[in-house]
Amino acid sequence: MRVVEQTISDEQLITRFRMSGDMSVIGELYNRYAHLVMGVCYKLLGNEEDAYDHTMLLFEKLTSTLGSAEISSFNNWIYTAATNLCITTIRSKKSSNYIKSVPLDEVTELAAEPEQTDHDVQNVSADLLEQAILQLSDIQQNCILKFFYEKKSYKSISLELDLPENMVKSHLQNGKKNLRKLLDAYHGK
Amino acid sequence: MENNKIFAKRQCLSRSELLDFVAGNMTDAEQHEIENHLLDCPLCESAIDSLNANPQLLIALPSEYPGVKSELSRKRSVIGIPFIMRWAAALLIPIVAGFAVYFYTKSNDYKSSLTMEVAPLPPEQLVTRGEQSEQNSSEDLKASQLYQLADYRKAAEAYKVLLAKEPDNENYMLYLGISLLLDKQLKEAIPNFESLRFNSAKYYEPASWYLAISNIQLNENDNARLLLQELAAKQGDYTEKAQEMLKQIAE
Repeated sequence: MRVVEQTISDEQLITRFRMSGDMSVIGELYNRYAHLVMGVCYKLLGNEEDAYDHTMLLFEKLTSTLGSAEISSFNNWIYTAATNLCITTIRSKKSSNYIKSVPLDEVTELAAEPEQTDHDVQNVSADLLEQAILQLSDIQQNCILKFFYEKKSYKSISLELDLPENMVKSHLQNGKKNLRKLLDAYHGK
Repeated sequence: MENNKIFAKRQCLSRSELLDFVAGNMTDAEQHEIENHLLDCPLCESAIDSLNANPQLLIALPSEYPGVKSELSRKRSVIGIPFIMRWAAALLIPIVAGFAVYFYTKSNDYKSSLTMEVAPLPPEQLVTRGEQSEQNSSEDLKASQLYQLADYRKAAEAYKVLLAKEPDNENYMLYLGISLLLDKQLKEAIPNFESLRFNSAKYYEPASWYLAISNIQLNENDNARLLLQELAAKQGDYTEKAQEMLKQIAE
């Protein structure tokens, strides 16, 4: 039975767990992320059995890692943890033995990577944003304008620009990254 | 344009959003919001890639966390057991548990354990469709996903749409009937099972079984008894279940 409200943020959930040890928090985080973690593990490991085992292992370890890991954004953290866990398994090439022998704290250590936040760029003015967009390459600018201003989908942009969908997505991703850098630069970072 | 549209944050995709997105069951606005999220979220992006590659990926993943203690015990016991065995266990445990509860109560309470008694068919059968048109394949996937998510009301609606397009598709008819039964729309469920009993050699037995269950739910035990006796007399998949059910309704 789920007793945690779904509107509570991940960070609030983690704080609750740290203060009270409320185990329903683990259930709620599983509910929010297990299907996504399974997808990450499947993409990296290539089979359902290993993906399932790694997903369960990660959530099993949450009870011990949530108390101490530095987590500013849980979705970034669990993605990194899942990726690193799978990569270590792939390197070991002994997935079933690895599952049994993985050190308890390894997932936390592996996941200790910097996390990106959009806190500052969310507050920039529209003028500044448009200035930054104009500094992007033509193709990135074009994709950003069509996607965000004209609300077009990857697919329709791909048809309009005669580009594969994954290229459209790539230009949008790189365009957003470059916008962040430009906006950070305006803020003197 | 407001800058916060570009850098807007949203929660990662829920399980149902993930399934809907992959099946293409979203409005343009919903799809756009998720596509924006995917630009910054490798977690959701990976999940979509994986589900596109393997639409059945999440079937074995419990929708609720089984709990720390039980999960730890499960990990200790299942490592090394072939995945297929776990699949079999996942399918058999609800059926066995259903009957265990059923016999334990030894009363007319068996009518209330409908979900366990009905025990939805194995997922393999969900993906073994007959010949279907390409345009129906995404709707077929959606119906199958709703069924797997135990949203039987919406699954029934989805199967009704599919059946309207392919009135002879016995598979759709069976799952429409089961979805209606599990949603307690018994009188709507029954004609589907009756039709299959009359027209389908392949689904004659499951249709008879589910028709019997529907009749028990409606307190039509005499009708159910006739169906169960027929199943019990045959050597088929439902022989033992029918024999046990006959004992129960006799008590």
